[in-house]
Amino acid sequence: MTRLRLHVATLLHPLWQLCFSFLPLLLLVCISFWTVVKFQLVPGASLVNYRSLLKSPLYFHALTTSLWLAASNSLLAALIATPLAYAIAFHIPDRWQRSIIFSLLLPSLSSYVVRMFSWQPWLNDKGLFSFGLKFLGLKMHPIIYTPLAIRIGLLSVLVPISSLVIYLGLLRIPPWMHSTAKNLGASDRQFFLFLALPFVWPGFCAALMISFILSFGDFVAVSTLGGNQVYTLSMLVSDAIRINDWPTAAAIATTMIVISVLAILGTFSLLRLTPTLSRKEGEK
Amino acid sequence: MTPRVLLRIYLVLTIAFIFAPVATLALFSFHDGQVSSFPIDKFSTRWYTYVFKNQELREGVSNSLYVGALVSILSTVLGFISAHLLARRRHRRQQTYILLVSYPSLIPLLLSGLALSMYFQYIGLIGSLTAIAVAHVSYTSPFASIVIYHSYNQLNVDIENAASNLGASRLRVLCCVVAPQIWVSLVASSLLCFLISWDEFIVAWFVGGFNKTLPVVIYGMMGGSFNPGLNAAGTLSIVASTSFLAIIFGLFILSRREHWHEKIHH
Repeated sequence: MTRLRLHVATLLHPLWQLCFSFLPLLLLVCISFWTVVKFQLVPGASLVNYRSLLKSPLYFHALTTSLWLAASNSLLAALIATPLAYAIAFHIPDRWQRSIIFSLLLPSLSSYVVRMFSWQPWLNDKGLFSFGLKFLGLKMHPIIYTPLAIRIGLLSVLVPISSLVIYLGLLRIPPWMHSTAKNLGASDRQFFLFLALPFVWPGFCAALMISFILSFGDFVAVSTLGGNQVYTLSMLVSDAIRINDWPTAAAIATTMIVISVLAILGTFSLLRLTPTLSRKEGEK
Repeated sequence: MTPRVLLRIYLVLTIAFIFAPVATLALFSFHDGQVSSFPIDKFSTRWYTYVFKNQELREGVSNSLYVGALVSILSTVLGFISAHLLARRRHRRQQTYILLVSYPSLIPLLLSGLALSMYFQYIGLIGSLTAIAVAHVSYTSPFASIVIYHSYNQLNVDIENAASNLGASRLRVLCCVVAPQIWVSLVASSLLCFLISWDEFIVAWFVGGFNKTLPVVIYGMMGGSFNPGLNAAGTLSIVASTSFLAIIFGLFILSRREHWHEKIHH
């Protein structure tokens, strides 16, 4: 009897995920093969939704915009975050490190919608950036409703998360490594390139993956800061749902799932390129 | 300038970049005018009174609280069970188990929200707060699992073995032996799940229908004519999230201190 209870307990969490995450996604993929006839959803196995997507220039525009935005933002976020994490790990006294990481995370863990909204006063034409530039005598096109605005908004969320992930990787460097390298005459740059890099790389890849997933599926920043000027796949999906066109929305979503899975697999293959140290950590 | 100084300046600039919008949000929430721009002539708390009196916002807050409470309890329970199993049993396929439990956190929320809104239509849960809670639990339970798993390194497995030798059932061991020792991480994980659920927008938007949580209400208010009450609402929301985060952080420091205490006195 206890054997059975143990098996049930083992399966409880995976079962929950199966019922409320896997099955819904499976249903989504199935619906992408259905059709809408006279406002009624008709189950079936038809590729008509995918064919109309492939013929649609709007879809390709949204696809390229989404991919470009997600890829460039994730790379930017990881690149900006690496010196940041490095500075916190090695150039801040230990006592303050946790507080600084905490204060970095602080705004980014509060309401996503509110944070994007709070960028608006900075970026619109009556906004603070324009105010500052007017002071200097320059006049500039308002930044809001452009890809740059979305980039700024997304980066304000992606950089803290990326730096946390990379910082956690840097924490695994044995404390004696830095001082030993310094004693043996290594410069900061040499330390970074030859000793810290193998610890940075997995964190860097994880940060890339998380940032890509977050920006690829992002809807709030795009609609709040991009308005209707920047069109991504997430906007396309929400438009399709708004007119109750489930099969089309499901088809677009399925392509997004495929791309996300490819991105995750790609990260795993990037991870395999981790440069290995000649001795394992843990050996003294 | 040495690399050290450059790095420090870089750090300050990045932190300023991240905090700037939050600072201006708080600043403008005390501004007495209709438009959120400079110059600010009068300061008042009139937007805060507006927020407290607003029916929609109050409903949003109570809905968010209800959903958050459900999510934190369910998530912590599920996460506790899976963390215990991962820490105590050597599965042959540990990696697979971890993947089976955590993959929902890797799926973009937009897609989960979309899938769940269709799924819940078929099983009749659409448009209810319970549906939002269930959706959030899928997303947050891996985080709960990670947090609780990390506290297992301070446990002595012999105590649990002794307890089951003396006749305690597995459930009893969990509740009476393990849980009291790691209560800090249990509380921390429930607060973390509450926080994630409190701030989550897109799934709640898709699944909730007319039952709106706070982020959904705020998003709806953003669409129409410009509403300066949003600054006050946003600031309050951030203050709430920050306090929760501070409590979680304090709990982590507390657990570290307890851990050190035990290590020294053993």
